[in-house]
Amino acid sequence: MKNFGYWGVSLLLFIAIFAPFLSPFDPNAIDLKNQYLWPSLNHLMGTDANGSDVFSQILYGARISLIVALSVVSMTTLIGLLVGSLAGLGGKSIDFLVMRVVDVVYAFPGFLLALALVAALGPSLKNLILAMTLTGWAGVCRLVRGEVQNIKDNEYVHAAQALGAGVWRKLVVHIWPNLIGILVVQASFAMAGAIMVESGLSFLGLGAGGEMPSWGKLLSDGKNDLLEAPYISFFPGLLIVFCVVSFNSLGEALRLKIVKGKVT
Amino acid sequence: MFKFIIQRSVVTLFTAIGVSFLSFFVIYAIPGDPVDVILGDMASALDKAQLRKELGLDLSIFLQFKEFILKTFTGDLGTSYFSGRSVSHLILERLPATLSLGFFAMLMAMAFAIPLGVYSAVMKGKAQDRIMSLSSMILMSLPVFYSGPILIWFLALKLGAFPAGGRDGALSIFLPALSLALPLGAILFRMTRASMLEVLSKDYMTSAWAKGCSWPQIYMVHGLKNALIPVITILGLQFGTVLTGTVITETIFNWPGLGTLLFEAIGERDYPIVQACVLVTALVYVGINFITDILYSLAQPKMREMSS
Repeated sequence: MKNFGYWGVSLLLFIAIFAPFLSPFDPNAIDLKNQYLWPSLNHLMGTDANGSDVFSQILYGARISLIVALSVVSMTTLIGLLVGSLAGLGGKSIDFLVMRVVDVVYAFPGFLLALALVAALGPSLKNLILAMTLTGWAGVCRLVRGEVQNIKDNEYVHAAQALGAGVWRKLVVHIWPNLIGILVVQASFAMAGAIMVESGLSFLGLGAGGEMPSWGKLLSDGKNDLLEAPYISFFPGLLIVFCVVSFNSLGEALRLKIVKGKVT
Repeated sequence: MFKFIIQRSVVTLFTAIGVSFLSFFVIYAIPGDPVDVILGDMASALDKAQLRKELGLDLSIFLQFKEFILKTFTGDLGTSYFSGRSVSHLILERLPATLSLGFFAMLMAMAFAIPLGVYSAVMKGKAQDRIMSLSSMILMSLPVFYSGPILIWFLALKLGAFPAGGRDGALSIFLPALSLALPLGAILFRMTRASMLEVLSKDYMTSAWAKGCSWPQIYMVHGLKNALIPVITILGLQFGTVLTGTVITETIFNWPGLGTLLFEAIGERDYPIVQACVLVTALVYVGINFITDILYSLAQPKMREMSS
């Protein structure tokens, strides 16, 4: 149970990377003779309205979720790190300006803003990642700013400054290394959140669009066939929950590790 | 206290203006011309120019924003591109359904989460506590677009106990509210449990036992009353999640609220409605956060001193 997060996330990465080798069928193959087959040994999770194999679609679906979540989280972390450091080190007026912008973005319900942006720009992988990045950086920024403000008054940072270290050297050598742990934990929780938002938007038809099967889209297709084929909705949702729980437990495990590391 | 309220009001006002700018800008970011959406590609240049003027689209972005804010304050949110109806009317028609769904979901979540949270804290480490904590971990990650269809399939289609969708009769609110309440309740449960555990270890609890208080008095009066303070804050913060959750929930259950209005408007590219729905939801969210802040400071004077 303690290592659930590590195992879960590893399993998901494995599925996403090796989806073409693991899936028994082409996820987009249309086979109208085999519509709505209940789960069997041949079709582990049954087939949908087009006769496509649900199991294969779910394996491929891991790709889109992880690609979107990884892109969004790496970009929000980078933006949050840079802008948060700027606010933390940049003096009172810069800090005030940056934090008011952060307040507004943070005060906006993130899912709604992402939804409106994708709706305005049109559903595509690029726009989805863009919208989720624009709404997600504020939280990281707050976190980084607070930490930077705490760290910058340490004696070793003052010492570095006295020895002539510039802003970048102070950040890269003396401040950022202290943030790695907390950012990794935050990223892990953010992955869980991003996967949830991505599937929610895909469910509403505002996801990555195109041919790639995604869990949210599968769920929304399955919603229309609940009476004949409830299994179409059952399995992709299970995967989303598994994914979110895995990343959350990974984050929790890493957090505990850091807390313990600080105590000893 | 008064100073604190004024301070928070000013901050909230600025946030509200910022939020309005953001929802205005989202629609401004649309590639292509809204006039083409309304008139179609076949319209003449003259018609387009005239409509552009009517809608104020020929002005600069700042003038447009000024216009937007002024109109918003007077309650004018524009007219729908397609039905030609006033957007404020459409919103007012739909808002009660969304708010009642949101509040009912919160009540439901509180009704099972708070007693179970207290029970779990009292039973810490026992089997009941472990099972409940584990289930809450899973329920917390249960998206409404998963629980919704499963609830419809089981409770509406299989058992026929509840209607599968629409807003018809008192029973129809139950399923959409339940699908919103499950993850919310799981979070509240965890919060109540953690907060109650902290309170249970306090000295005043020991002295209450020593005084010979009965156990309901100890857990409810001394324990829960103090443990609820952080729960209130979480409740306020979670209201935003509930509000955005209603967008998806309403489309699943065909609930005639803001969410379905927004969803339909997105499909028809009826941008004034999209803009207004986003704005109103965001403003409600900002307002609820303001109220939470005030309530929290009433319950916890320490908080007030810290921020002033």
